[in-house]
Amino acid sequence: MAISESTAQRFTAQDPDVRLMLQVRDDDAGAFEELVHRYQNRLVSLLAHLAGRRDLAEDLAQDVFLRVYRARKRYVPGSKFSTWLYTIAHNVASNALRGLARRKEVHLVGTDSGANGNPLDAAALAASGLMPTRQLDKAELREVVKLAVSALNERQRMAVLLNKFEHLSYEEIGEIMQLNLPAVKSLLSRARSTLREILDPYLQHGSPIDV
Amino acid sequence: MNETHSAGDKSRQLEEIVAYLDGELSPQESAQVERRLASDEQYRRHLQGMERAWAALDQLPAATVNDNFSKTTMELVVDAAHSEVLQRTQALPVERRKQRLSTVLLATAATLLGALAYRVQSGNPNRALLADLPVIEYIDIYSQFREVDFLRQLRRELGGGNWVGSSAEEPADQLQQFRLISSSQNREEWLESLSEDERVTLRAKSNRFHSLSEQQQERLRSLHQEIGSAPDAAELQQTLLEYQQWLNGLPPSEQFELREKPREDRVSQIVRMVEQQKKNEFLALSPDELRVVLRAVRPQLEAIRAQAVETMSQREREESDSSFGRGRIWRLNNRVPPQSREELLSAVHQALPPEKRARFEQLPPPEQWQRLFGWIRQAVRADSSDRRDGDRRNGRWIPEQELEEFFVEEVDAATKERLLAMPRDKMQELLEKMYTGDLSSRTGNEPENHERERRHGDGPPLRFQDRLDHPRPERGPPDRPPRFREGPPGPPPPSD
Repeated sequence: MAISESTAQRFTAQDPDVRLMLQVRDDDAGAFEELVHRYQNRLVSLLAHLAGRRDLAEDLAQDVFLRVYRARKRYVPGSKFSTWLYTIAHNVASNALRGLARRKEVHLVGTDSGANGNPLDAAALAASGLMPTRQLDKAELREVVKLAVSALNERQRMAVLLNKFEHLSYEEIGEIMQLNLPAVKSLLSRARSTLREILDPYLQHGSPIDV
Repeated sequence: MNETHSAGDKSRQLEEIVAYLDGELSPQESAQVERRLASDEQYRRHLQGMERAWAALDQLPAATVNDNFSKTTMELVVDAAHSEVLQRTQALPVERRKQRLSTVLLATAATLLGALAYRVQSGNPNRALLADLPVIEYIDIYSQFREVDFLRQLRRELGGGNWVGSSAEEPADQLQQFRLISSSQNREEWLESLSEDERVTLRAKSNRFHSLSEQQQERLRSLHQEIGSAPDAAELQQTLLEYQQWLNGLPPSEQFELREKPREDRVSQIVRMVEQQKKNEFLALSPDELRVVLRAVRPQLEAIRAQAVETMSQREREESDSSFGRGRIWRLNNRVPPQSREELLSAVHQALPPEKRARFEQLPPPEQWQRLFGWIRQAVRADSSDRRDGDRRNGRWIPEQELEEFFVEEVDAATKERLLAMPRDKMQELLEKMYTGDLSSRTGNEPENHERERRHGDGPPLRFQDRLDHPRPERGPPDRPPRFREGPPGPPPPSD
């Protein structure tokens, strides 16, 4: 889809990261390095929660930055820089996770949790000894939350992470994940419902979440 | 059919709740949800459960990468650049190919490796960095104002010296560094003395500076030069650094608000805030001092309570027993007869250390009263066995339930309405200040700078617990950059 001049100008004026990327387009290495610094932690965090592995997340993040660099000459600011970056990240992550699932290198716990889906393997929870009848300490709660997130399917996880930690709007998430607005709403609502089902028993017992 | 309809309704309801929590509903749709929340307890519980689970995601750890990540990323990019050049030259005739390859490879490698070399060796800063070093290093504070007269006005209003309080760093050291960097002779030496982390920070500032327009860069340079060449340069530099120190203690949203104000309003606001901070700091008691005050007034409060119980209904008596059982003796705030107030305040005067006693006695009696009960709450909270890990500084950690009860029982109606019209974090901040006695919980004493939030609050007021459980979302216009979890703050939006 062609991007109008006015749209490009608007994002250039409003988004400092777009301006940096335009400098990268002009082969400014310092600008590229600055973008790497600004986004490396967030990107690795996102990919680590998505893929469930820190080492894989770093590899994927570097792949994303490499793609950003390779695409620099074709870059036209049609959205915020972060939206463009996370679109690339979403594609990289999807491809990688599909490949890994085929090779069965990563056990993807999440299934499409529809109305009748069992969102979390109760055996896994029980095995971990984290019964919701007592207060959890912070480390235990963190493990429960990680398990809950891993119970989502990949698309739900991506939407949740983008919404929660990158504070992206539904429109932006739709742009990144190539979904229309109703699809994003549906995805997020099912994901959050699943999270609630899993976490509610632990949170109801007054686990000490620090404010 | 009915089951399908019902499942569809549930699904729609779920989407509605989630969209409401994410601020994705129109004002009319939001109002509809809020009306339903006010009347439908099950709906409300559902929403609260969703909100709790969402908040729990904050437990997920955030990743941080070390310097090796960016170094290896840049190395990958250099390799990619080499490959690009090689590919492009394959199509050229042989004679030109060799010449082009060496030229382009050299240029490309130099461009890319230049940044890498700076990061790896950190021993050959470029000339542009050195030339603009003072402006780059202090870009954050120089971006906060436009005219040197702003600093002069601040100094006139607040005086010289340390106006940020006892927690401030020694200003002389900061001034020494500022002058060192400002002198062109010492900049290289200063650069070489930086640690790896400091170099990374400086590089980020440099890129921020260079991402500004030429006009904006020139404006910052002129500002720095004007300060350096002014007859009152020493005072201006001191005020600049004091202002920076003080500003660093404010959240980014407040910094932004100040920056956007016209100079006169900004100075007035800063003066008000500094005076309030000084007052609060002076009247903040240490945990030991709090215990002494509580010991001094507790016997009298117990006696007052014993008398008050005589006039209570059965229900009030049970609630009072429950409150006192949890140590909440400040609930007597509204039941103390006038003659007993003087006795209580007198007991407080005796219990305070001399310098704070003098300051306390300068307060008007209603403020003394509110301050006393703020201290009592803090003291009881500090002694409470249900204090948890992660307490805030100065014992100001206040459980939500406590805050809610305070809101319901001790805040007057007009103040409640104003609080409910505010964004959640602002409301919570003010409420905590009222709880600890830094602000009155009665109408008329709210600081002027919250008048704007009150006017701009939208939607019908809700119960306090509703606002805590499903705060009014703070999404800006679609093209506003998201709040970053990490990374440098970036320059302010261009205003010219």
